[in-house]
Amino acid sequence: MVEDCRRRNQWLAQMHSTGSSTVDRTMMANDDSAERQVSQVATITALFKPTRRSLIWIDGADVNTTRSAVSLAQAVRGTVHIGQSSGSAATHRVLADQGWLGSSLAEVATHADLIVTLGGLRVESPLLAQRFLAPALAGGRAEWCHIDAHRDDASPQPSGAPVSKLSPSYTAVWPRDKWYEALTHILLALQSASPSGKHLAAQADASVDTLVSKLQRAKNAVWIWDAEEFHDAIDELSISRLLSISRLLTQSARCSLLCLDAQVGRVTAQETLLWLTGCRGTADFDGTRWNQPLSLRHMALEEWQHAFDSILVVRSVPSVHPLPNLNASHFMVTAQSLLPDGVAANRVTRVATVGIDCDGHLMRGDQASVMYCAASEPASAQNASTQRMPTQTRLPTAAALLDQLRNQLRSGAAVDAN
Amino acid sequence: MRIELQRARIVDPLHEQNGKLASLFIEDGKFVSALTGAKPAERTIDLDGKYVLAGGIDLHTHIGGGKVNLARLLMPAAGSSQGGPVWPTLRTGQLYNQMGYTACFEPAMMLSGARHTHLELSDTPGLDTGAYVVLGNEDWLLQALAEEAHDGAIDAIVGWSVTATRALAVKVVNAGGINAFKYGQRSLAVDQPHAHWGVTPRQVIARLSASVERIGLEHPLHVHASNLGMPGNVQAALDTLAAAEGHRIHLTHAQFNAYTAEGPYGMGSGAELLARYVNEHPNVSLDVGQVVFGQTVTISADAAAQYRNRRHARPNRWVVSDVECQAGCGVVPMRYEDKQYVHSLQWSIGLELMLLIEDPWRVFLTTDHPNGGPFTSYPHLLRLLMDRSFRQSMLETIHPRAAENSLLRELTREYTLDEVAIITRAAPARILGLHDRGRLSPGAIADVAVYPQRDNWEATFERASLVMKCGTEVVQDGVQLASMTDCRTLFAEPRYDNALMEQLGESVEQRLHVPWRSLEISLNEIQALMRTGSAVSSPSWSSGSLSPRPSSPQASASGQAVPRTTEGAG
Repeated sequence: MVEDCRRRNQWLAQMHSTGSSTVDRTMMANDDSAERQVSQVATITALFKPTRRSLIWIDGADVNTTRSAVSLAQAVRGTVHIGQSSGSAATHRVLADQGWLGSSLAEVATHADLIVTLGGLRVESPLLAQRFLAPALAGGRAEWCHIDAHRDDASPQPSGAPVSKLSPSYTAVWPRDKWYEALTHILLALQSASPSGKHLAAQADASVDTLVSKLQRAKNAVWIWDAEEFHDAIDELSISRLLSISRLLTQSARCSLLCLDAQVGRVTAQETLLWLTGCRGTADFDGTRWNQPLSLRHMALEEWQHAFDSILVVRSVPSVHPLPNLNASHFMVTAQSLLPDGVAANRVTRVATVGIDCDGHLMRGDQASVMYCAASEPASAQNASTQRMPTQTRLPTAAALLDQLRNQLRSGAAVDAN
Repeated sequence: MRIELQRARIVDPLHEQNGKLASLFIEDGKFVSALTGAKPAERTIDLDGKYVLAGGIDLHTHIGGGKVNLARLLMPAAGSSQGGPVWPTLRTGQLYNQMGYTACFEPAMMLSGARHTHLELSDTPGLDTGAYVVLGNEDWLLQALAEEAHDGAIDAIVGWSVTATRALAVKVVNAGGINAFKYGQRSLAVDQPHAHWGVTPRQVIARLSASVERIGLEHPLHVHASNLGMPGNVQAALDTLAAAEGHRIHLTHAQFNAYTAEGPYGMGSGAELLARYVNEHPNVSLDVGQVVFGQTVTISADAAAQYRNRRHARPNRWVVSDVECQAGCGVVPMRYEDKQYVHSLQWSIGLELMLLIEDPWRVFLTTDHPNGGPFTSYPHLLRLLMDRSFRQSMLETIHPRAAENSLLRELTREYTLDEVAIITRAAPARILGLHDRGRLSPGAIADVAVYPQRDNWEATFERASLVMKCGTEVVQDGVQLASMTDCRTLFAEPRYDNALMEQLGESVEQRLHVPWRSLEISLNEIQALMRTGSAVSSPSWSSGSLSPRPSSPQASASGQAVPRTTEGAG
C-alpha cells in the first residue's frame, strides 16, 4: 500500500533528483554565502518597487512565514495568494456557502462506528488506516466501507508491495462520473417517506442499497476524503450531497465529514491569512485596508503572470508537490523543492525547511490542531560530543528573509523621502 | 521616563484620590507615587479634568482560535477589514484600544487548539491576552470521573491541561453534554447521567470547581451551564451553581441561561431568580452575555446547543464540528431583532441581571463577543446601565410583550462611574488574579484610558481620547498611534503532581493518537515563535513594524508554593 502512494513516490523522486534525502545543509549554507544572500535580497527588493503590481504566491508555509509575507505585502501594497487546488477550493466554497458538519481524526478513531472513505485516500494516505482507522476497527466497534472509482484488482500492484491487513469490509465501485448520481440516490433513499426518493433509489444499484442500510444503522458515521479528490463543479455538488446526507442523518444519529488536505503548509497559510486579513485565499492591500479581490477569483494559473508585474513564490515547508509554473520572477523555496524547467539560479533563493532546518508551526491537514515542528538535529549533532551547527552556517528562514526585504524596502523609502 | 498626567479626574474606587482632580505619575511603565524620587517629570500631559480610568479588561470575548476563523470563513463580509463583528486580529486590537481596553481573554481554548489560539491572540496588537482551557467533555476526564478517581488524579488532569496550554483559567462548557451529544443525547440536565460514562454534569462541576481551588488557580471555575438557550433553563443554571458546593464558581454569559418556561410563547425572564441566588451566595459571580440588536455570528464550543440553534441561522448556513474529542465547535450566524419576542426578552434579561445583582465586584459586562453582539457595543450598554431615561426610551422600542413583562420598567438603579470602573476594570482584574492592573495606584502597570466628558455616556465611552499601554501612548484623540508596546500572554502556573500525569497521559494519547507531550507549549515556544513572529502592523498605523515583541522572558515560577499568574511572553 505504501509503495502505491503517489505522494511518497514523488518525494522519493525529488530526493533522488536533489542527490540525497539528507541534503548537506552545511554545504548549501556555505554555498549560499552571506554575500550571495545580500545580492539576492537586493534582487528581490527590486521586484517590489512601488510602481509594480506585486504578488507573493505562498505555495506552502508555516505561520511565521505567512505573517512575514503578509507584512511585506502590506508594506508594498501588494497581494498575497495562497496557492490551492481546485479540490480544496471546492470544499471551502461549500463550507462558506452552506456550512459544515465536521469530524476530526480523534473522533474517527474513538467514536465512529461507520467509516466511509472515498477515492484515492486509501492509497494516498496509507498511514491513515494504521493510525486512526485501526483503533476504530479494533474489537469490531466500527465498520470500514470504501467507495472507489475502480476495482483494486484492476490496478497494477507494485512488486513486493506488502499486503495490508487493514482493508475495508465493503467496497462500492462507482465510475467517477457517477458519484454525484450515486450520492443523490443515497440521499433520496435516506429521506423518509419520499416517493421520488423511493423511485430513484430503486434505480440505483445494490451497492447504494447496502450503503444506505449501513448508514441507517450507524450511530456515528464519518465520511473521509482527500482534498484533491474533488475537482470540478459537479464534484462540488457531490460535496454538497455529502453535507446534505450528514445533516439528514444527524437529525437522529450522528454523521459528519472529514476532508483531509495533505499539502503541507497550505491549510496553515490559509488560516493565518484569514485571521490577519479577514480574507480567504487571496488578500490585496490597497494602502488602507485588506480586500479580497473578486477579479482574481477563479483565475487560471497562466493568467496570474499577466495580472502582476512581479511574482515571488514562497515555500517554507517540506512538500512533494511541484511548484506552480507561473513564470515567477523569483522563488524563495526550500532546499528540496524541484523548480519548474528553465529557472535560472539567480532567480532562486533557498530557505530553511520548517521541521528540518528550523522550528515552526504547521496546521494539520484536518485543521484540528497546530503542531509545533521542531528542527531535526543535524547529523553532526547526533554525536553528543559535537556542537550543534552555528546558526550562521545554516539556511536562512523564509520569515527572516521576508522581514529583511521589508526592512530594506522601508529604509529605501526613507532614503527616497529624504 | 517619568510622565505626569496632570489634572486627571481619577475614576478608581481603589485609589485614595478617587473622584478628585490630581496628578498621576508613570515611570518604567508603571504608576508610581508622587513622592517616589525627587526628579521632575520629563513629560507632562494636561488632561484638563477628563475622566481617567485604568485600561479596560474584557474577561470573556471570543477573539482567537479555530472557531473564530471558521466564523470569518462563514461570514466573509463580516470578516473583512471594515465589517463586523468578527474582524481580523489587527482590527480587533485596534477597536478595543480605541474604547480604552488593554487586556482581553479568550474563554474557549481547546487542548488541541491552544497553539492556534495563542498565535491568533499574539497577532492582536495593543492587548495583553490570555485564554481559558475548556474541560469537562474529554473522554479521559469523564472516564476518570466515572471511575471515581481520587482528587490528585483529577488535579493532575486539570493542572496539566492548564500548564500544557498556557491557560489562565479553566472553563467548563455544557459539562458532559457535548460528549453525550455523540452518544445520541440531545441535551443533558444537571442530574442526568451521561449515556456512556454515567457521569452527571453536577459531578463534573463539583469535582472541577474543587480541583481549580486546590491547584491554586485564582479565577474560579468558569462555567457555561447546561441547556443553554432552552426555555426553563434558569433551573439548570441554579443547579449548576449549587453543584459547586460552596466552591467559587463563575457563571458565564448568564443571560443565555436565565429563562423560565412561563410567559408569552412559553418563555420568560429568570433574571430575578438568578440574581437573588447570586446576591445570597458570595462564592458566585457572573458575566452577563448581553444581547445587542443587529447581525452577529454565534461561536461556541457547545456543539449540542449550536446544533439546536441551527434552525435560527440567518443567513442560513451553520457549522457544527467535533474538536479532537474535546468539547466541540458550533458557528451559527444570528440576527437579533428588536421586534422579535425572544430577542427582546434576551435583551431585557441581560440588563435586568446587571441591575439586580447588588455587588458590582461579582457581575461583569460582556456581550460574550460576538455571541450576544460585538464588543464595540459596550459604550451603548454602559449608557443603558447609567441612564435610566435612556433605558426606558429603548424599552419602548422592543417587542411589546417583552417590554410589558420586563422588570426594567421598575428598576430605577443607575450605575455610577465608580461602579463602571469596577465592573470593567477592577473586578475583572481581581477575579482573574491580575494584581498588577485594573487600578491607578502605584505599582500597577500604567494601562490608562482617558475619556472626555461628552453629551451622554455612550459618546463618552465610545472613543477614548488617550490610551496608554504600560505608559506608552497607543491612542491619541481617538486615533491609533504608530507607537506600540510589548504585549503579554498571561497564564497561570498551577500546582499538581506531574508524576500522576505520566500515568494519565496514556489515556489522553489513546484518544488523540498523538504523543500527549506534543500538546505541551513550552515557555521557549511561546516566547520564540508565537509572540516574536513578524506580526503585521495595523493598516492605520502607517509606519513601521509594530509587532508586539516581548521583552526578556520572565523566569518560570516552577516550584513556588503558591501558583501565580505569570507574564509568560514577557
